[in-house]
Amino acid sequence: MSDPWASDFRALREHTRRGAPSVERTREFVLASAKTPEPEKEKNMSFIKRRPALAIAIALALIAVLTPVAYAVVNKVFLSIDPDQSEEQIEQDVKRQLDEAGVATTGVTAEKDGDKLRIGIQSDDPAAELPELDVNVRGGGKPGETLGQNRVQIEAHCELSPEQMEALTQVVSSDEFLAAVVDRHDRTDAEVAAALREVLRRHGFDHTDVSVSGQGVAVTVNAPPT
Amino acid sequence: MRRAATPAWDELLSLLTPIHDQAVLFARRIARSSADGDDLFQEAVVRAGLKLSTLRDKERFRAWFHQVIVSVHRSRARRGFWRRLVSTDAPDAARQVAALAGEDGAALADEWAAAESAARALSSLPPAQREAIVLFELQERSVEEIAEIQRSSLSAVKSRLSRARERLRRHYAASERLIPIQEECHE
Repeated sequence: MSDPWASDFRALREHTRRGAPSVERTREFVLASAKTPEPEKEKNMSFIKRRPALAIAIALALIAVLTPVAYAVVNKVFLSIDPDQSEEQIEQDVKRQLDEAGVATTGVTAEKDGDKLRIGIQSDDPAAELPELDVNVRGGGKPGETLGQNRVQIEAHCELSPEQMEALTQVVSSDEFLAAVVDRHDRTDAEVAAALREVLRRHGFDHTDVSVSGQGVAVTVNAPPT
Repeated sequence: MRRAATPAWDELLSLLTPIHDQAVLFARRIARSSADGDDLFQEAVVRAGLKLSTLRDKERFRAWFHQVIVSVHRSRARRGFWRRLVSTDAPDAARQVAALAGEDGAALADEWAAAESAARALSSLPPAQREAIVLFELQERSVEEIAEIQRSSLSAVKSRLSRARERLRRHYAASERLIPIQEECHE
């Protein structure tokens, strides 16, 4: 019996041949690159499609599907996310919802990683103020059913490079950070806030304000990581 | 700012030409879309041009260039969360189907749907497993070649392929769960 993906893979094999760049096109590209010597980093960027710079205030949403935690930032737009959809479907769905809400974004990313689903929303307009995202994650594949969520709002009051933003993402999606948010045991809000500040500090984010109120956590990054 | 070594573009082109199409397809198949794959391939070409002087045995160019693609792929996967954008255009596959619908629209639509399904399944795999399964299943490379490209041991590649297949099985099983429900309706 053949693998269930055999026929899909055959189709992909053919599909990826369509419109593939020819060797002549690559040759033209290479020759064009040779005529315009640049430092390596800039050459990479000029070669590939230029990616918009990240805005200072960037919306960061991270939703844990099984350990329900939602991360979002700034004003009020309601987003409904179905974690059973593929990454591409979620991206397109979120993009559509943001477009309909009049939120100017240049990109939406969704990545599934085990029981977590990360949503990233970008803007290339540094002056743009992205609204707060009220994120509703449907759980268990049952339409309309919403998982209870802890919410972490993250706001950057300083300019962070893409690498620093990624580092911040890694910290707030780390097991130790999530554990402190979800498994509070008998700790007070102030103790949870101190624990989260300590996690951030250990990862170089020394200048942060963290406040915890019930299921809401607000993190403000005041300076880039050291 | 540090300046890169002068790339050996002519030499790169002569080495790249015989394996060009194969390498493009590899990049397209491990990327999330053909457009991403073309970006990945181009970035790999630039990096290869800058690093070509480090390749002593030019006979190894094919494996070496695939290593560069793998390296760029991993690097893009790491930074991808913040850099990757959703195109506001229609998916390129849909455009191709629409453009060619006059010739054989139904067959192309079927191919597109199946290719989309394969791409979704592949995107559920971590980068290293995706590369291994694409090289093995779609590029028909041996385990030995994959080990060289991924700079891994044979046993690591075999294990990676096994884990990738298991994940693919789970992915396809999950996507077919509705079938028994439909059967019950007919009873």
